[in-house]
Amino acid sequence: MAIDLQLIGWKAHGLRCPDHEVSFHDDTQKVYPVTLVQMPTGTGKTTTLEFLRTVLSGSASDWPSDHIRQFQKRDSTDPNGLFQVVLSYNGRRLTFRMEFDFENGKVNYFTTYRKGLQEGFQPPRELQKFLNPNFIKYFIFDGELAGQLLDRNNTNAQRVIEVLFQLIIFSMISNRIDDYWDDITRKSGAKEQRGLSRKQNECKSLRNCINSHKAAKRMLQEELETLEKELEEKAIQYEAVKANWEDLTKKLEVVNEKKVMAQNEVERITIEVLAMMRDPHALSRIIAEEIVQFKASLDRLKLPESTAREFFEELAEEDECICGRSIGKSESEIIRRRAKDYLGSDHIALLNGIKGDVSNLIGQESSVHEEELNDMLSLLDVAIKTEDRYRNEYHLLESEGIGGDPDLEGLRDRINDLNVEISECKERLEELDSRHDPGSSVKPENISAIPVLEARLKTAKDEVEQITNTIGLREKGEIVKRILADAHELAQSRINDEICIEANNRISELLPHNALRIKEIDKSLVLHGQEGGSVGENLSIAYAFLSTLFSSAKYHHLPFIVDSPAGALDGDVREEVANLIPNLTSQFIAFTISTEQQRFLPALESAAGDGIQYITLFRKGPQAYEARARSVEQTSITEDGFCVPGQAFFKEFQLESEDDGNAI
Amino acid sequence: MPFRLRRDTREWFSYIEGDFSLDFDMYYLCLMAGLATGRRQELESEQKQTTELVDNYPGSFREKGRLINAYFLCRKLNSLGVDLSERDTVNDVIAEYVDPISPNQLSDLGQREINKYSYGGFEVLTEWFDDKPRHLETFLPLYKRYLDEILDSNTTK
Repeated sequence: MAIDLQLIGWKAHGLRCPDHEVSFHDDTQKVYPVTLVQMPTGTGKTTTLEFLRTVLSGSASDWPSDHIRQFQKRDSTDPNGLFQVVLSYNGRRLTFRMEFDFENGKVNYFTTYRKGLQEGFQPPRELQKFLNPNFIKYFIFDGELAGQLLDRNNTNAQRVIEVLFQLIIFSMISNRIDDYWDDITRKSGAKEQRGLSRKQNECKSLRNCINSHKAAKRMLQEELETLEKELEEKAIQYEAVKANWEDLTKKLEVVNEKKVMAQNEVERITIEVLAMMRDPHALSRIIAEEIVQFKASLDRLKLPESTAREFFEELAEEDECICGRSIGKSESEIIRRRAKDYLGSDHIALLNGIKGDVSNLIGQESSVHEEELNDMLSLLDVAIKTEDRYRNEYHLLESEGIGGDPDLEGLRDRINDLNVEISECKERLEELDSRHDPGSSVKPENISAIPVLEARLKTAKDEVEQITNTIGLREKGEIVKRILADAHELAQSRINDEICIEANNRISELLPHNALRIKEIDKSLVLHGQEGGSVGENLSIAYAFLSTLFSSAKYHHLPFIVDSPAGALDGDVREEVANLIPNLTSQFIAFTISTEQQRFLPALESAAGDGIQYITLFRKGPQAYEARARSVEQTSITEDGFCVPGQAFFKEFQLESEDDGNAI
Repeated sequence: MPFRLRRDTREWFSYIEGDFSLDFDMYYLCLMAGLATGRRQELESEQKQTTELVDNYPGSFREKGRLINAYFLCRKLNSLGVDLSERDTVNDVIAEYVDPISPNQLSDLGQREINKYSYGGFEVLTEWFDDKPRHLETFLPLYKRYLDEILDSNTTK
């Protein structure tokens, strides 16, 4: 950013120098390109310069108390002092103020800029590279600097060049690269190579775990495929067998039903047969025949008698027989005796019953009962055979079912086993495909979920990449930094060379008869063949160098404040320097004494034209000048000093020091 | 006096005992085999070796009881060598073995004798069959066949 810094004015109060306030604005509120401030020796010119450097660099914060107190106005009881500088920074007002507390030996800074009054030395960031103790002396310049420019222990001219020509950008970029790399590596958490190794090992471990689990997954998938294929086959087989079995079952049911019916028929007929066999005459015609013959025999024998024993026993009691004969005692006894030969009526009934059953149950056709039995036995035989047939058919069907699948139960068991194995396989595959991360505390070797491991691997790889990128980034940064350094060095070298050439040209103009030349800029100015020159030569060199610097640094405009710009210079050099001054910077402020004006002021006036502001500051004392000063319009009179504007008074004022009070 | 069944007869019929609605069926089958073959068996200890059945012909046997008695008397007369033309002997034998008052119309003697034929008939069955009968439906036809064979053989003699 281009910087346009102008000194608008300053004021001092309560300090060793006379209280005064100066302003470098002209009537149009623009700063004069050249301001000459004449202050006799002892007026506080050096002090004022020191205050200017101090207030614009913040260096008074480091002053010891005794040093501060020595700035107190002599014989003053006022414990406070003030030095304030007003600047214009890119068109905005910027004020720095030092408030002296002589009692406590402290100086307090105050800065007024955009935010208003702030305690402390708070220059805008862009001005900080200028408003610091090192740089300030390059634009608030005194003859001492001239000698320092040639002393590398006391100056760093190179630094000034870098600031003015913005070569600091190279270091800024380089620093920014470091900052960026630090920022990046801070996030990655591992800057060192060992961090990379650790992450790479982690990646390797994760990769191994993933590969192992993927291999296991492939095997499981193959196994699952095999199992499912076998299950499918077994299921088809089972269904087929089952279908056959169902068919078979239906057939079996049918056959069984017939078998049962046949069995029932067998049972029925068997019962029928048994019932028929309970008839002894049905068992065999022979038995039937014997029974019939027995009856026939009884019939032939007339058994039982038709008359039962009871008849004769009752007859024996009668007096008269049924034939009409009388029955005496002896007849009665014979009847009773012979009655015993007759069956009782019960016996007769029994035998008659037998004979009756024989006639009734067996009848005339004794063989028919057996024939009926035989018929029934035939039916039984048929029924038995039928039952056998159905039983055999049933057994055959049963055997057929069992024979169709000798290990039906085993098949079913295998299907169940397959389902269990498949379920376990799927469960295991689900574990391998799970996306649930158990947490960073669980080590990869204890995780089987491939997506989780892959996510962790990606993270680790990203981290590796970050690290490698970081390292690469650092390497790239280092390359860029090297490039920047090379560019910096090159730029610096070229600028230095250019400045040297330009400065040497100016030196040759200032000191045409002097072979003094700048050889190079190596922190300080290095002269050809010698370490330094006279005060005048050094001052000439300084002006040549500084004028070259400030005229070359087209992007920054700083005020150039010089104490005794021509004091030690010869007349010719004074004129040359005076010619340089208008081109040096946009604002040149010089503290001079009257004796410095010879050959310098006319040349300066000639070079600067109407753009010169004249200010004369002197302490109260010389009455003639006080009276003269009072007559000058816009003279500012303070408690202990006069500030007189204008060329006339400036030129009339001949005091070299405060001691020369009656110079006029 | 009841009909009595040999204990071993019951055991022998154990497989098909349940198929008989009457225990008397087992007694009857043995009886008929005994009467047909004329085999009677004296038991050493009838009380121990047999169980009581019923006093009378049970169930459907009741209406056939007189025929069974008739066959018994016939076979008894035959075993006694009584000529069936001998009226008095026949009468006496019948009078001896029957008892109109008895539930089954057999006298005690007649009951004992008929039981013995049943006991003997069991022996016959065990000779006819190699093993205990397992199915009634196969036993009965075989029984009938064996009975026919023995009766036929007796007839031809």
